[in-house]
Amino acid sequence: MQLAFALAAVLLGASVPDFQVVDLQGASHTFASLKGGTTVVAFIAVRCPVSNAYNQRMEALYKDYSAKGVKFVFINANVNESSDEVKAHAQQVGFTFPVYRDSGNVADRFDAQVTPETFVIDKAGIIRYHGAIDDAQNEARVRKQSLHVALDEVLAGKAVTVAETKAFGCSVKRAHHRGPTD
Amino acid sequence: MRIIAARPISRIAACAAALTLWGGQLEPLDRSGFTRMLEARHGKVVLVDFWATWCDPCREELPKLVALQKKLSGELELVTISADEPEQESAAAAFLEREQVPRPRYIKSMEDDQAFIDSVDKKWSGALPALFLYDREKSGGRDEMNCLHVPQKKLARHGSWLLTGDGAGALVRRIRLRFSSLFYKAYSHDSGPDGEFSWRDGDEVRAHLVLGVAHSSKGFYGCSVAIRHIERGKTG
Repeated sequence: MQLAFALAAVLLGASVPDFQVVDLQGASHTFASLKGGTTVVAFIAVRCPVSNAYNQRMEALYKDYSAKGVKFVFINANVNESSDEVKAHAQQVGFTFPVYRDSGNVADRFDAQVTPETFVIDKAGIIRYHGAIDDAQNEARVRKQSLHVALDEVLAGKAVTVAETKAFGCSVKRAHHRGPTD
Repeated sequence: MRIIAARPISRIAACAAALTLWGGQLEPLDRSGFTRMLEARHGKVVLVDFWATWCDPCREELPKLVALQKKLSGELELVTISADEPEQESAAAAFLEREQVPRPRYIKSMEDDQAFIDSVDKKWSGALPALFLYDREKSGGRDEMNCLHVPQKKLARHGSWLLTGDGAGALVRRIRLRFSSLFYKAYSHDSGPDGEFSWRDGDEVRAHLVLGVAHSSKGFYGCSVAIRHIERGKTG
């Protein structure tokens, strides 16, 4: 039984223990050094068309909410996408935010399954929202701006009305773990 | 007279063209349609594959599912449900046609995706590919549908739990009759950690079933099942 199986995932309403991510130059950063009063952790991908459908929306979200003091930790946890690929992709699509790599078990800790998948963490370090950015891959069909709404509520100190959402997306391509019978 | 006679022919041609076009499209399916689809298959083992043209592993996997269905002919029905957007429906239909994926070929209706995902399984994140295996016992309400769910600890302790366990249902019981034993071994591919199950007939590997694409620290999430290899041949 390996460590990854023993770690309990951080759930909605629970506090996030510190973790490490690696930037695209290879330097490690603790979540404690990246977080702000309110923080968005987002699992994204290079090759996932669903994640890519949200590139412009992620960039807009970053610009709009950075101005309100929100910090963002965009994480690529896919083992099949190299740091060079992540870097080239970020430049190509024009991300102005840094993208970090999962240094081990961050996706497991968050129990992130899909890209894109987001978490809103409040100033006390509690996960207040978990789920999709909105409810439609095609921006023209968006009806529920779930992440925006949750962020606004957290920033206003209110309870989050819809704290968990789901959408179809690509599975997170996790690092290899040895199975339990190895 | 000739002109009049030509009309029915052109109508037939138009009908044929329409049928061809219809045959190339997918049937829309919503939450209640999903439940009805399963109810209509009471007494059958059904493998439901949620896939999309934008999902690379799904496209890799589908021909293997078709092969599995052929191998288990008469025992397993494959039902595909595309999670594609309306803009991709034609491409999805063309892919299914090219890969000779049997009908029914569904596409999710444009309704609330979250409600659809939750109605299939509340524990499912919506990540693709996702396969759901339903046994013969399913009937009526959703609670009675046995989705293959393998708790990690159980899996680790009892490799053969799937064959006899309460969650696996008739498919694995039937397979046990056909094949002599089942082995579990750890397996990995570029989609991440999975559990792999091999059905062997003596020394012959008859089928590999890989479980747990949606793996988490809580254990294998067995309702997400991927069949990565279906092989024949001697092992070892």
